[in-house]
Amino acid sequence: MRRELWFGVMIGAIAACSTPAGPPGPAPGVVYTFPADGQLDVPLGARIVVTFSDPVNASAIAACSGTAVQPVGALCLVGPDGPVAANAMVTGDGRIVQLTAALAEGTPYAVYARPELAPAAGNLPASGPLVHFTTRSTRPSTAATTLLAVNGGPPDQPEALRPMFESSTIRLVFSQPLDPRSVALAPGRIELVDGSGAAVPARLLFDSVHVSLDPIDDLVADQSYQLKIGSGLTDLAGRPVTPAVVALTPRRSAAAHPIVEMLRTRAAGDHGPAAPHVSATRNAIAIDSPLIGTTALAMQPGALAIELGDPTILDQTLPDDRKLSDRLAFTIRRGQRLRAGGLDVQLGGVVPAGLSTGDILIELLSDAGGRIYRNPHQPVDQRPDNDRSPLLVDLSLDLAIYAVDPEGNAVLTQTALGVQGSGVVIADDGVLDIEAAIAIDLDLLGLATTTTNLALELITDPDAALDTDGTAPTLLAALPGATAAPASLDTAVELVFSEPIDLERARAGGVQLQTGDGQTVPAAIEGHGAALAIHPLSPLLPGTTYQVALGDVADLAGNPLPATTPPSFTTPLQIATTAPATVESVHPGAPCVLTGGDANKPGHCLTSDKAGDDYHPFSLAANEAIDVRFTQPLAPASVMRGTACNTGSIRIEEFDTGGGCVAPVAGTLQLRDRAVSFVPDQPWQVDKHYRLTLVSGPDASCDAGEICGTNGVAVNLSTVGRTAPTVLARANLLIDFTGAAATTATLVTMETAPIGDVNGSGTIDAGEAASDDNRVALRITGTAGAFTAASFSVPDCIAATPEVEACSALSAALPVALLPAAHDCALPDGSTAASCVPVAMSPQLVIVTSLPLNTKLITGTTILQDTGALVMRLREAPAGPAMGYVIDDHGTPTFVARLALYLDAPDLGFVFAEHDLHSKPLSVDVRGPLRFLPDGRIAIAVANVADVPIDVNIQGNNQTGVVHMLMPLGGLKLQLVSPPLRGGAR
Amino acid sequence: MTAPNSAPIEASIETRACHRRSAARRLAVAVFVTATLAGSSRGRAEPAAGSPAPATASPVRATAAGSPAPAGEPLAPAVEAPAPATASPVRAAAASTTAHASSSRRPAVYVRLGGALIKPVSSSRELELADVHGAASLAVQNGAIRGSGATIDSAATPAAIIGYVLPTASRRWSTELVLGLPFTVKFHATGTLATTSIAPMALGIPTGVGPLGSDLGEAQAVPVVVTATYKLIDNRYVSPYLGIGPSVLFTRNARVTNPTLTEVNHPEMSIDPAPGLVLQGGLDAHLTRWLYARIDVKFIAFMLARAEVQHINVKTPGLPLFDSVEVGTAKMNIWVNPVIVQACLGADFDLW
Repeated sequence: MRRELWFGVMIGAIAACSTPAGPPGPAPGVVYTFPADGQLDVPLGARIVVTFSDPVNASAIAACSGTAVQPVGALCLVGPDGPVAANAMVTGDGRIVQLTAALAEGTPYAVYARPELAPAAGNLPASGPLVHFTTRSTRPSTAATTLLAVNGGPPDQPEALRPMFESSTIRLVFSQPLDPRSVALAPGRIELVDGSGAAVPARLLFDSVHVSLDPIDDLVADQSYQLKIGSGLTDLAGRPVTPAVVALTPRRSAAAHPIVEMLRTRAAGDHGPAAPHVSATRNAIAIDSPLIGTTALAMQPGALAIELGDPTILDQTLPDDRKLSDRLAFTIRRGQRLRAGGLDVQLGGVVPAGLSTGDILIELLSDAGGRIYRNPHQPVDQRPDNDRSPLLVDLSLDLAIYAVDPEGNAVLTQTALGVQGSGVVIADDGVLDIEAAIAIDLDLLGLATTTTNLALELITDPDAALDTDGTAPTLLAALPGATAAPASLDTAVELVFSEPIDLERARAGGVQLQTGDGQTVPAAIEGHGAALAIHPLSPLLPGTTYQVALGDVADLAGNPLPATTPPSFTTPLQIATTAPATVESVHPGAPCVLTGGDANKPGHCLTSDKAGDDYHPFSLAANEAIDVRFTQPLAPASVMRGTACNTGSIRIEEFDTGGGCVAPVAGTLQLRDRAVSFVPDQPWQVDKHYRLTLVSGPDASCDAGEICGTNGVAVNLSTVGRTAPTVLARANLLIDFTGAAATTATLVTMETAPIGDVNGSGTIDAGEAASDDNRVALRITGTAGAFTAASFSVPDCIAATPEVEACSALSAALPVALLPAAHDCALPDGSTAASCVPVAMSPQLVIVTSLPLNTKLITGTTILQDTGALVMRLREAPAGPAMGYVIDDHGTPTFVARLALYLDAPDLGFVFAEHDLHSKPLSVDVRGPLRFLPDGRIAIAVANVADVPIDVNIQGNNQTGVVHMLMPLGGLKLQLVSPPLRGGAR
Repeated sequence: MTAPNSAPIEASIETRACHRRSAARRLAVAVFVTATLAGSSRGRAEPAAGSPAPATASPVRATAAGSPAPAGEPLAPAVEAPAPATASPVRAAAASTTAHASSSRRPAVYVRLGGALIKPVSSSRELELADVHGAASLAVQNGAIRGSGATIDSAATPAAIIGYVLPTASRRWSTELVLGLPFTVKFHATGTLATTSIAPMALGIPTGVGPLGSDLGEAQAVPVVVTATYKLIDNRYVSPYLGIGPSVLFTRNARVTNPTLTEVNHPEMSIDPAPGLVLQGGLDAHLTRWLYARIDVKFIAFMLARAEVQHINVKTPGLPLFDSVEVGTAKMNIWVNPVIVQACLGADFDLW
């Protein structure tokens, strides 16, 4: 007893015996990756993220070596050919490793992480990759178009990546872009049918390779459905998509009795984890593009209502499949939106573009969904642990992105479908914190696509309020419109609204393209954020008035469009002409038949007289397409790409070093109204030799294998070559070029708009309206020699000057490359700009319509002579391309350039005399503002900043004469406009 | 300690004997005696009250019969010696006490053995949760659980009072130590803690965590009580007294017994030593020459037991995604404030 007593007395000073604190904790190691393992359709610019539970050994990260199956290095990004050069950055609190790399389209990659990177990690694969994923491809291909993914998984395993619930939107990815005119919920195209074969009403969203089907009513769990893809669905080249049938059985998530939870963006001071998991900066959209530089948009306070499924429902069919069993399903219903801070666009990140978007809204176009699930990097039975085995979240979204500012909205608004996000879920401090990485491909200014990386962090907050939409949509702009004439007849009609509208109501007749007399024009309606693109199923008719009837139009919240004047436009007349269509631009290359070339240089344009400079060797970056523009529409049947060497009217062939044709390059040829483009199946190979051949034939007749205009005349490719005045020196156009590494420059073909010479005849015909936006004014200032007087037999076109000027209409297509921003830029006028965006201009041409020239000889004879179409060819600089610069001119983005031109009048001829308008050099300093049109396109309107004297020397019959002309200051006006942003031309 | 010169002969003999023994031995003897009187398993059967002890049965008697013996002297010769019934040292002590009653000499040490009934007059603050983190924080927060409470069961245990009469002039002041066998106290949940789930919902989802029910946990408790007492009346037969002093409640082997709380793991339960202020009152009754009976009532005020249960994990059948969650720490502050009623028998004696 004494012992008992003694022990009893002493025990108070003895700590209680310890007992197990809980279930075993997980091993340290990897807790999260982005992309998720097995993810398909990963945007090319997505950050690759590997997050560990503890700080990594950053010094272990180095360039990798080895092979695709046995890479050597602590952290390796591996493609099919082995380790890929990548930039690694350790961020956050030393636990997050981010990789960025130039990924190839449609390519499988793997990420390998080795113990050197995280010696304490207990869950790194002993061999094999940590994660593998496949990148997105929007590249057209000659391969049959197939259904690539259903809800993130292969069509034969649609739940390979994520389970499908009754509330799920069905998201499809195709192997290449689809023809928007063929995309419809219809038999033979896309069908969703239930077990009895009845069609399931659904909302259809479409964008490039993505199609989303959001059933109007949630599907019925455990019931069988079929998704049918028919051959009526076609790709951009008109080829049918490979039919497919996918069986779907949605799983039960109790979506009929959801538990609604409010989530809001986490703000400073809110509860939640201190350290980030997916990105150092949370609730920000990171944009990194050479076009607008590097910037980040902060997410604004906002909320989402999330409907949680019943967490006790576990699938019994696949109990061992953790993707399907250990999850908490959720749905975020369409129409909800979040806001991000506005973007003040700065070209290259340094030149203010004069465009502010205002707040950017991100709205759900369909029911978003996902699941919260156990960490796949730990054993199945490992319960969640915030530090080492956090819950993960998977998200699938279809988004509309638009802006508050009308102009900014027109530039920015777009749809992003099939957006996939994944993240980490931390339950702590009384909140459920969801931090997800979401990679979104974003079109920038209609010129470039870049992947933006959104690190979205939401926390639960029962008091959070939704950003309800009580504002009616308004129509902001239309293209074509009264002030924006269509460039071609196969254009889509664009309507830009202030916010996304209900596509189904629009398709049900709310928005109709009609002729002026109210006849409905069959068309497919495609959503682009807050804009619609109405694709006529057949090209528009020339000289016809159209209107867009706006009936039952409402936003996603049901707010109806107020009474709005239907936008209307009239397509330009196509005046019949026998003039051949002429090549206006060729990229790569120059728009003329070349001569004088050899193995080292492509030569120069074939001219009637004086030859110009030899061009620098042509090359085409791996990520560029061949693009050829003509002055007239082409006859589709005449545009045939050869399938063997030396066949077809358009040939894109690989050549060996000896100049022999190896084989035609596989790729997709797209014919638009006045343009042909070609995208190879595989990117151009660096230093490989290729040849582009356009065949025109020996004469004007349109024979087989020749490219012809719709007027039945073979195209003219010899823009400045004549065997005699007005007699074309017909020849095929051959452009030899080599493949080059992919460029980060922003590539765009700017076209003059509006154009006066619609029919490409070289003259302003009766019925054609010349535009003052694209013209050159010529003033005859005197004559000498054999001439006593000269004039243009047209009215004065610039009333503001006391002199008489004659104006010609200009048309041009100019491929340019906006290069990364530069500083201390030397400008043509000798000044220096602190910063600028250099613009490399392709050596193309400007076609100047003919003017009637009236000359009087000393003999008293008066000669009235049409000049014929003049050609101003842009010359290259001695060491590279012609350059221009976008600078900041007191707040206005301004383009400045010194254009070194050759002026040609190939069709000008004098009896018994010759003129010198052959490769006549001119130097024209131009300057003008860059602005954004209401429909979002960029317009650069330049004018010459000094008088440009042009003397036309004529010699013949032992006499010479000179006509002194002047392009007065401001006489040259050239407005170059970027392509329509939303499918203006297919 | 030296006995006063004026002590009775018997007492002085006793004192002298004690001088020749080691202190340890004295203590051993005293404990043995008291244990015997208390009827512990180590003692032998107690004779009926008032019955004369068998003359030869007790070495105590032998010792008592013994004349002053040298230190280390075997007890056997004393056993062999005929022992008058009054020759026991205990009896001598009792006689001494009696003598003291008349001559104001009181033996220095007394022991009372018996049983103690500990009746907490408990009340509790609301149970508080602390260190709530992780998924549990979606359902519960740090702080008090409204309407919750806890109680402690009553307990009974053998207990001893060992007293030492302070050598003051009046010899009315004593200091006492209460020792008891560790006893089991059971903690019970009350209020909402027992009847409703503390984490019924997380994010609006039923967690499946049910009410805890009554059982919370248990621990072995050892209250250590030291008091200073004052005899109000130094009567030959009855001596009422009052006392005051500190007390500390020590515990060991604290463990959670609640099935909900132990389904995933065994949380750590600890109870801080709980001090209190003892207010004491009682009555010593002189039954025989050496036998005393005591009824003692103590109230320990301000005794706050701070119990913590750490690493609580509970199953979340409503959230199989989590399976179970760690709740954190539950803190219970329970005013124990026990009333301890002791009834005991004992004797007074001098050890030297």
